Amino acid sequence: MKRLPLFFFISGLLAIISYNIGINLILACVVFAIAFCICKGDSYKLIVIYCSIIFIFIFCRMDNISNITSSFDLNKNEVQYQGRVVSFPIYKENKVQFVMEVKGAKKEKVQGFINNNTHLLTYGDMIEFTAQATIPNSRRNPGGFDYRQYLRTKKIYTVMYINNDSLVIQNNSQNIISKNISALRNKLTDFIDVNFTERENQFLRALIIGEKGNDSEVINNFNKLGISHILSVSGLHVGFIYLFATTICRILKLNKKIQIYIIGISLYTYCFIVGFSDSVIRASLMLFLLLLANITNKKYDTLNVLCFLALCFILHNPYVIYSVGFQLSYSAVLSITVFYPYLNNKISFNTKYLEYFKSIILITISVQIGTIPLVIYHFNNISIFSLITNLLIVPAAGFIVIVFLCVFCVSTLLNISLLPFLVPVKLSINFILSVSENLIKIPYSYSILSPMPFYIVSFYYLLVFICFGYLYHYRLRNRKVIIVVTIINISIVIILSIIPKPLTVTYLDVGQGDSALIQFPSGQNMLIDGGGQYNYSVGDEIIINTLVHKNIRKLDLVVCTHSHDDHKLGILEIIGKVKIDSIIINCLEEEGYTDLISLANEFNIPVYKNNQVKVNISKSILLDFVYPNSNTLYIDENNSSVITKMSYNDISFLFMGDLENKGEKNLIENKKDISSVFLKIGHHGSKTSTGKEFLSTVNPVYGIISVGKDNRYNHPNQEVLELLDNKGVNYFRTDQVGAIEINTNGEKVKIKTYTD
Amino acid sequence: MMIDKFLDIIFIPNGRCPICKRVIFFSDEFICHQCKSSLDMVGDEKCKKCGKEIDDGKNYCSGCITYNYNYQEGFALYNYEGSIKTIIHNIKFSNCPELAVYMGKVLGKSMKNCSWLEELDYIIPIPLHENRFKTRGYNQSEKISNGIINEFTQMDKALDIKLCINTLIRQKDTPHQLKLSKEERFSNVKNAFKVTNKDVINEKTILLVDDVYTTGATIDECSAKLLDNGALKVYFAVLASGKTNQL
Repeated sequence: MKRLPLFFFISGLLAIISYNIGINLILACVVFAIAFCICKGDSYKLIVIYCSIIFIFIFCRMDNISNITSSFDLNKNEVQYQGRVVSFPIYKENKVQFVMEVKGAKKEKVQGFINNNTHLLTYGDMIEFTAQATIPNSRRNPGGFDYRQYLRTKKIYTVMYINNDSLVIQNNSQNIISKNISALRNKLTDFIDVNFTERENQFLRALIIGEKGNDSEVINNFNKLGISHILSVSGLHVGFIYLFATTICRILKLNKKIQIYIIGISLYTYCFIVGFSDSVIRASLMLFLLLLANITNKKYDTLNVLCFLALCFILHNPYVIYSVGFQLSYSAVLSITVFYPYLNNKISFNTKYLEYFKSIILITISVQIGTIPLVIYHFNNISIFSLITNLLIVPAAGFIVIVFLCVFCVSTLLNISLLPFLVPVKLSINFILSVSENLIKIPYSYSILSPMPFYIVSFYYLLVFICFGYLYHYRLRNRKVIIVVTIINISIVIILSIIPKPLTVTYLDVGQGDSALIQFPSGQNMLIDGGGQYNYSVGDEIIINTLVHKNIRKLDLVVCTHSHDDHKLGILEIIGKVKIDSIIINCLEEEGYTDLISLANEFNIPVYKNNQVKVNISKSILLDFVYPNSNTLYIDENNSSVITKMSYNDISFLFMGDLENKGEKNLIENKKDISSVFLKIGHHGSKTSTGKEFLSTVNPVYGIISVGKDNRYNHPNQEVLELLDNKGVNYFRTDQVGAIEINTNGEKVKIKTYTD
Repeated sequence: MMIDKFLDIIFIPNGRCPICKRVIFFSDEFICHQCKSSLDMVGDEKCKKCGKEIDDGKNYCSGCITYNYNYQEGFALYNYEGSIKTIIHNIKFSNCPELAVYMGKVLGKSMKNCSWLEELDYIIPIPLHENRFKTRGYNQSEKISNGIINEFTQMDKALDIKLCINTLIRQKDTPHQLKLSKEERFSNVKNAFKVTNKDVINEKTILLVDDVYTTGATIDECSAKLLDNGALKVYFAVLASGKTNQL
């Protein structure tokens, strides 16, 4: 029986999936027992046993790790800690971030941050400091970044913001190996710092030692153009190190055992320098196994090696499967293994140069074919130029790596300056940077795409495999498989289009501010307020991400309840980035709206006052801007907020903006029906809003308070919360639960909160 | 050794189809289904002596009419055209002994209907010269023979045929036959082989095994040597034979 590593890896993967979708371990064991009975032959039975052991092990490990939380006291402020820096710190302006080992109840890895840093930290420093331990943020909004899970892939469960003044560096404790390697790394970074300009420096650091996060502009461009892989240190670099080491071994005619040691040590050193990223460990181990295969005269098999390494990774920490680097690195190599040799064999040229270009093109194509669903999922865009850019940039990057490392090695070993040799490196760097900068300016050079649903992804891979002539070994049986999968897919599409879509209301967690996204069953979308903060773009980081994640290309209606920045800024930020049909505001003459109105005019978006328009969504959904109406006088921004009432059969929503008691009084006097099931509590739960009488009139079942954590206004007010409790209103706070998503079919409601 | 066992699990010989280079995922085969069916098998019309495919409706190929070969009869599985060339190249030059064994099994399976199968006593693979054996690490003909014997022992009526190596050895390190003309090939292998132990093959019927049969020079020379040293009859089996119009 062949491909045991593949079977083992698949059972590990199944364990992770089953854990996530909540399959009981006992049920899984029953399935394995049945498989054991069905299988004929001892070798198959043995495989089932092995697979079930791996399955159970990884399942338990998932369970185990998901229950681990920080072992530090999270409630106490400013506690004294002792720790050791165990990563190379990354400096960014006056901030620094690094991983450290901190002694608490037990020794634990912690992600540390220092704002306003004045210290120079290095790997291995023993430090003493005061900080408050916190749990990293999990995903708070649809399409948001799950920092908690990201750190979990590295077995980190705590974040500490260190007080800069309290930090004392005691001494540096490293063993002899890491001391030498960090010295080498320092030499490398010094060499880069001395010989290159700021712009080149940042690019080179990312390229050679994988230090990212310095220049987000470059990385963003590279992501959009589909060439970010050259910045993730992996195969290319490690391959070069390997070639270098083997050449030296061959020149010195060393015996096989010594060869293994030398190559192993040089690969380990490089892994250490770039900080043991998933992809570089993968690449090094693959090359090491290639060496073993050559020496023991066995046939190297990439797929098995890949599966074996992936299995080792998930045995160590199953959560690594969520790491973007891990996913892209493995899937890229997998696609090269599966598709490239076949393509390469099909197409052949006679000239050597053409063969070289052909292999680069075909490798790029293979990688793209295999990773497109993942790339779309993580980066939400694909580039039409990625093939061309890869053709231009991959050879240039390879050239840079090789020449740079050669010059570095020679000049440090011989202690001479080889500046003239760095000129071509500089030229290539500037070439790459200018190519990426110019390509990104071309319209439609990249297109934004939403993550594909699971059934489309599976259908895509099935099609690809058929096109490449796989699934052919047992023709008849496979044809049946193909037909069955196709039928299932088509029926899913049909069923999804038949099932009536629910009305979805998502109260986004925009910090201190308001924003709610409404998706109507008929396919229209509406945004009420856009949040807004001064040091952070709510529009780009939260609203656009949410829209992309939910595959919303057009907002039919945007309502800005009033002109305060915590409601309006986010809207300003998204104009021009997403198609908007019309904007509704509470007062056309008000000064606070000048920027919004002029920006809207620039993009030809009509702006209306709330009582100028009548919106028809569908028969069963009524949307009414109940306040302010034509005969109410303008009071002030808050008290003239646009009040939106929406009802879908039995379920109704009331969006209050920042309406205060004065406005509430007017609203009641209007004699419009404002009773609702869901009430967006006015003014973030301020005590100036949500009066007793008003609450009785609305008589809500659920309340939503959109509020920032530890805000300076002390929202929400304790009295308001008590009032809500007394009235038996079940309320949610975005600072506690993140975004709140409500699905309703007009009768029943389903409420989902994004954190915990 | 533990490490060796571990490496055997990871490094498998049939990870990729040698012809189309696709990954073989779940199969014990060495060649994918598609490529296997694309191989050009020798048709029903074949030379009654050497087993080459002929298309002019005669009983013997032009080579066998003009020259009286020393062997009795031969069997070839494929025409030496297209994909089989890749396989034989892999067997010879890409360190794939397991592929050779596999092809031997395929060959053995298709030899079931040969009328002379039960006469056989020994299988002798065409030997390699010591030097070439060292550089290649194995003798591809010997590996093919292993595959054939493996298949023979698993047949309905198991045959008791033994592999016999080191009885026939190659004493001259002759250059590759590839670029030589027909006459040069015959003179190239002249006296290249030697029988070391006459007693073993005395009055026995022998099956010679090689990878490719083109002019028959090598096999003819070996057959002559074996018959000179007391063998009763010599047959041969090859993976592929060049069609009559080649050379």
